[in-house]
Amino acid sequence: MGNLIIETKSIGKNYGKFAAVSDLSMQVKKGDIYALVGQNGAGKTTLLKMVCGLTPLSTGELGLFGRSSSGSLEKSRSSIGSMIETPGFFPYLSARDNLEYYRIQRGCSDRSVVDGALRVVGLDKAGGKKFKNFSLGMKQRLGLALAVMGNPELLVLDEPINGLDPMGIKEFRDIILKMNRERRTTVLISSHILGELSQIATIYGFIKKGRLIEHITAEELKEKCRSYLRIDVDSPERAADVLRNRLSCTNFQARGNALFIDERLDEPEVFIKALVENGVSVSQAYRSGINLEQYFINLIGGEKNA
Amino acid sequence: MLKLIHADFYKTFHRAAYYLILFIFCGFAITIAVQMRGRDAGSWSGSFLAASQLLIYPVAFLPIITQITLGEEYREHTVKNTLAFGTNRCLLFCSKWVSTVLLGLLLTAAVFAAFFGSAALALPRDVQFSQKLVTDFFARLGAACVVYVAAATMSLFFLVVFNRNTLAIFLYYGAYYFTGLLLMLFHLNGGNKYLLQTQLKGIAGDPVPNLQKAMVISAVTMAAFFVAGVFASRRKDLI
Repeated sequence: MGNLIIETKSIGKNYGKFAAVSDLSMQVKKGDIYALVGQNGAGKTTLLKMVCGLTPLSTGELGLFGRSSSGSLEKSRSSIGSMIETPGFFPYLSARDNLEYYRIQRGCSDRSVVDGALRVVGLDKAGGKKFKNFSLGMKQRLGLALAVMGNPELLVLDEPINGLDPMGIKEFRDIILKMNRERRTTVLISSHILGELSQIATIYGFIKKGRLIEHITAEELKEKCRSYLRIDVDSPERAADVLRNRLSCTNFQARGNALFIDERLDEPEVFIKALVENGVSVSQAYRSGINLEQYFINLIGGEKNA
Repeated sequence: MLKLIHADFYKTFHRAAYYLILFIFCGFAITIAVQMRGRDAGSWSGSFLAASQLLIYPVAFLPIITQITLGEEYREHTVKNTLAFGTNRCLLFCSKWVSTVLLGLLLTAAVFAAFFGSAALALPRDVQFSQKLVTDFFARLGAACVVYVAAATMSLFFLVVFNRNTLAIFLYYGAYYFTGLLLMLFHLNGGNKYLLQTQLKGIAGDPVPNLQKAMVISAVTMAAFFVAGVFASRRKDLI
C-alpha cells in the first residue's frame, strides 16, 4: 500500500460541455491534513465527491490506499469517514437512531461506537433528539460524528465548519488534530475559512477552474507568507554592519538596496535610528508579508477573482 | 446485502409514519368488511369475492413504500453516506428492491389479514363459501403480488433516474395508468395486453384468468425495470 492514501492521475469530471474538474493529479500521504482551497465553483466539492464515489470519474484514474480497481476502491472506501456538503440524515429519527442505522448498515458489531461518536462531537446529551429539531451547528456536529464513527483512516470533509459557533469550530479543530496526532488519520478538507484551515493543514492544494494550480506544504507556505521588515538604504553593506554590530541582529538578508529583517518586527524605529546615526540614508521602511488569504487571492489573480 | 436490508427495516420500524400507514390501511380494510354486513355480499364468500376486486388498489399506494425505502434517501441526501462508505451501487439498488418487496408484502399481508379477520368476525358463513373460493383468491393474490413487485421495480427505477421525487412519482402513475391511453392514441392497441394495469385488471376480474401468463408478463416487466434501475444507479451523479 505504501504511504499514499489518495492518488489521482489526471482525473476529470465533465457535466455536458462543462469541465468541473480537469486533468487533476494530486497525492495525499498518510498523516497529511490536506486543505483544498478554491473559490466557489472551483471544483473542490466535485473532487471530494469523486474521492468518495458519489460522482463517477469522466477521465483519469483514482487510487485509494494504493488500490485503483473499481471493486477495490469500494472496499477502500470502508476506511473513509466523510461529510460532503450538508449532512444528510433522516429527520424523523433521533441522532442516536440515525447513527445506529449506519452502524447496522456497516456491519459494525460494537454498539458502543454510536455513543462514542456522539461523545466525541459533544452530542451525547442530545442523542435522543430528532434530527429535524437540530440547529445547523448540531447537524454539522452529527455529520462529523458519522464521519469519525469507527475511527476511519481517512477523513474527507467538505466545508465542515459551516454553521458552527466559535466554540464548535475550536472543538472541531481539536478533534481533527487529535485524530491526526494519535491515530495518524489522514484528512482531506475543504473550507472557505482560510484562517481556520491554516491552523490545521500540513499541505495545501489550490484549485482554480477545476485544475490544481499549486500544491504546497504548510512550511513552504509559511516561508512564502512570512512577515518581514523591509528597509531601503543607500549602502546595504554598511547597513548590514550596523545591524550586526550595533543591534546584534542576525536574521536579515540584503538584496539590492533593501534589507529584509525577520526579527524585532515591531521596532522599526530602533533600526532606522541606528542606521541614520551611523550615516546610512534610509529612503523607506515598512513591514510586509501576506497571510493565507492574501496568498490565495494573489494566486488566483487578484481581488476581482476572489 | 443483509446488513443494508436490516438497516432499512430498523429505520422503517423506528418511524411513526409506517405504523400510521399500516393503521390507516388496516382500518380501511376493516371498515369495508364491517360495512358489508347486512348487504347482499355480506358473507364469507362475499368477502373473498370483494377481496379479489380490491387487488387492483395496492398498486396505487406502492410509491409510499418506495418513498420510504429509496425516495427519502435521495431527498434527505442520506444515500451519500451509504455510498461514500463504499457500498456497491448495484448492491444498494438490489437491497432497496428487496426491502421494498418485503415491506410491501408485509403491508399487503397485514391489510388482507385485517380484512379477513374482521370479515370472519362480522360476517356470517354461507353455503357458497368453499375451499375453492379461498384457493382462487390466494392464487389471484399470488399473481397480483408479482404485478405489485413489477410496479414497485418501475417506481424504484423512476426514483433512481430522476432527482426529483415528485417527478418520479408522477411518472410512475403516468406509466401505470396512462400508457394504455397513449398506446390507443398511437393506434398500438395490441400493446395493451402487455401492460401491468391490464394484468392486474384480469387477475381481479371474473372469471379467474390465465394467471400464469399475467405473472410471466409482470416478471418480464420487472426484470426489464430492474436491469434498467441497476444500470441507472451505477452511473448516477449524486447532486
